[in-house]
Amino acid sequence: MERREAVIKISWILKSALLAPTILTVLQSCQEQVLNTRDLMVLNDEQDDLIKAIADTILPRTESPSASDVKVDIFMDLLLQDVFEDEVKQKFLQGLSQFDVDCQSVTGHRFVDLIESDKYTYLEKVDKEIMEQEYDDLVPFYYTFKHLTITIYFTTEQGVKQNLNYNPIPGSYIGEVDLGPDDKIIIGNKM
Amino acid sequence: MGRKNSYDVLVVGAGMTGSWAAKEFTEKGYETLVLERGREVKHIEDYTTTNKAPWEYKHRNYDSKKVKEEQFMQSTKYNFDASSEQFFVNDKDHPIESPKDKPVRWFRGYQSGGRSLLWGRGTYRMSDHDFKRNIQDGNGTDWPIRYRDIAPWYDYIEEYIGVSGTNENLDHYPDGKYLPPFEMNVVEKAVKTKLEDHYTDRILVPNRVAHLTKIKPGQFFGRSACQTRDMCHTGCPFGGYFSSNSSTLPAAKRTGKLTLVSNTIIDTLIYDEKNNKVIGVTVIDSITKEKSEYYARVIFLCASTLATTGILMRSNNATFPNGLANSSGVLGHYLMDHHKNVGGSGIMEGFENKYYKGFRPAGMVIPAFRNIKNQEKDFLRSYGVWGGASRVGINPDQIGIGKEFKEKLTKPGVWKMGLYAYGECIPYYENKVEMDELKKDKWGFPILKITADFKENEMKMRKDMKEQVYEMLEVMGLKDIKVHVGSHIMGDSTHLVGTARMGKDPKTSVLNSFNQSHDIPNLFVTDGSCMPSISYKSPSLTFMALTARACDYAAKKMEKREF
Repeated sequence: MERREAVIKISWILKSALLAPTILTVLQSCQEQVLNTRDLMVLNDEQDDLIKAIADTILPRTESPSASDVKVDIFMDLLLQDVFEDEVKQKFLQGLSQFDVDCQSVTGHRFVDLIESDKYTYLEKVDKEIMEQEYDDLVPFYYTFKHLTITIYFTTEQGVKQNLNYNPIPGSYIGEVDLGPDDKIIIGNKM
Repeated sequence: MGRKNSYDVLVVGAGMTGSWAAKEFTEKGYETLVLERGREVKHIEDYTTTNKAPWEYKHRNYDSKKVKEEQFMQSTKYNFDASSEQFFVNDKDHPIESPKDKPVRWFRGYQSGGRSLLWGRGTYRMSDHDFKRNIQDGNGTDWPIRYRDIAPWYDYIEEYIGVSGTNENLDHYPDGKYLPPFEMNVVEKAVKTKLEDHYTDRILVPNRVAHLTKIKPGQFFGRSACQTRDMCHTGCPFGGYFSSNSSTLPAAKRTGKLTLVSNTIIDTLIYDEKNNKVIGVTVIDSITKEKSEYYARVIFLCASTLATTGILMRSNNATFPNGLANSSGVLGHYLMDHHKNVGGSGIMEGFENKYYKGFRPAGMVIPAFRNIKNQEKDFLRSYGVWGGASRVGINPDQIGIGKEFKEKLTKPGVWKMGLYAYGECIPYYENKVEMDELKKDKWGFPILKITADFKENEMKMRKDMKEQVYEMLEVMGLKDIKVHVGSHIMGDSTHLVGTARMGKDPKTSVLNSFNQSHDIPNLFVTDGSCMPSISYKSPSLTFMALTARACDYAAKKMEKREF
């Protein structure tokens, strides 16, 4: 594949190492192992703030919560601690830091210091550059970050219940139903 | 009898086949002992994850480094995740060996119910096309039975476990006793028409699966209809699909004749040389490692293909130095699995205003169409193609950020139709399992060494599978078609069969036409190890039917006091 020059420099990360086996689906009543706000294990505050800023630009607060409202950053921290191999973790952190270096060289500011509309403008450009390409085994940092942000968001209770049509026990399968313009993805408890 | 630990029948393994043996013998009035090496998993109460949502797991749908280390092989299975990991073994405690250049996967569920909690629920009858493959092309040994021998037992099993599907009147894909099929969705109906208009030798129909679609009250003893949650691998509290836990084990318990002993590993079968019979087993408790013995008139080995063969191998003695009941020398050979990971998908346009309700836990099937009437291709045997259509869900891999993008993410995406093929593997003598006497597991048992791979015939078949998947996706009118050919690892399809095959000739097979040892008359093997060929169809229904048939045969012998 031809990798043309991107707006940002690219830290390539092995796709299979980072992405969950399935793009999930979700569902109800919490207990036990749920993550609460707690001390970060891997990320420092600066990294955490940057993650929240990017994630919230991708998924801002609307009538439903933003990415950071449902603690997408805290779960990323957990992934870095318990799930990703060291090499992947390092690449992720490098990619995160490179993201900010690139942002500064283009805009003159760190991403977190941009005003909201400039965050959007800058990230929209990055997003288009990265997401319009197809990838094989290796994906750039931003691709990974966006994928994680969205998939994590839609495995949270609020992310699911306040955005989608949650139906954990559908009953018998019906092969044809009409879909209206306001209808949402139906989702259950399967991971 | 009256001896301590003495029973009429001793069954090794409480999985798919062992639980059928338990049901059949107990219902016939025989005191039946089932020894299970794992823990007991009780229907409903031990399905600890079945009502959990993803956010209720610490790592949600990710496997932690710790899990990937402890279950490094099991975690590669498609349905392994935090909701099902409790039904898979810990690979560190259950090592196997295979040559570096021939990796093998052995997915195991050591608990009562075994892998009936984890299976794909595909439920197919082998046909005479399948039973005759070996004799026709000269690979492997001829099956000692034909369709007419097993057909009544297919009926019997299907009616008891509940199978949904359609009857299609195809010789090579025999019809059965089916509950109504799951509905097809609008795109599946559309591609079916296109496919069947184009080809005279192919149909696309709802897959035959062991799910209760429509039932009468009380018909399945407390099991209820499938709720289409698609969470089968957590154990189903509705009993919506067949598992030993929801069906056959409770049936055996209801008789009052069942003794199920968990956490008990078979050491060896006890052989009475003078009378040429097996009289019992020596076992160890998997937790305390305490030894004990159990006795019975008849022994059924239902431990799963490799485990059963391993037990026979380590029960060797002066009479049978190469493994008990192995005068033929074929024990351990002719290991088979389906080869998979050839598939593709495409996008269907024009049904954007349609959706479906429910997460249907089953798809569509295109039964075999190669080498059916004649040997027409440059490879032997055949393959089937499975698939289905659905709308893409949350799709993070698209351009966009911000408020509108967030809204867009919540809308059902494009319709995608996928196809993936499963192919038959020829039985090869050199695909085998052996004991490595030098390496022991934590209970002191020799580790199994498995040497097996797919060969030239399968590779040629895979080439055709890929071409046909692409061609059919085109015929179906799909856009942006992508096909892929992935790995072919023996065991990856979880259909390992063979290694203690049935056959007509005691010199070249381990078991006769009733799954009875040629060498030792009161010893039966009815799990997947008995199969002389694999066909392209998932094997569970066939070995369940063979089990019930063997139980009937053995019980008649017991009535006559032959055992």
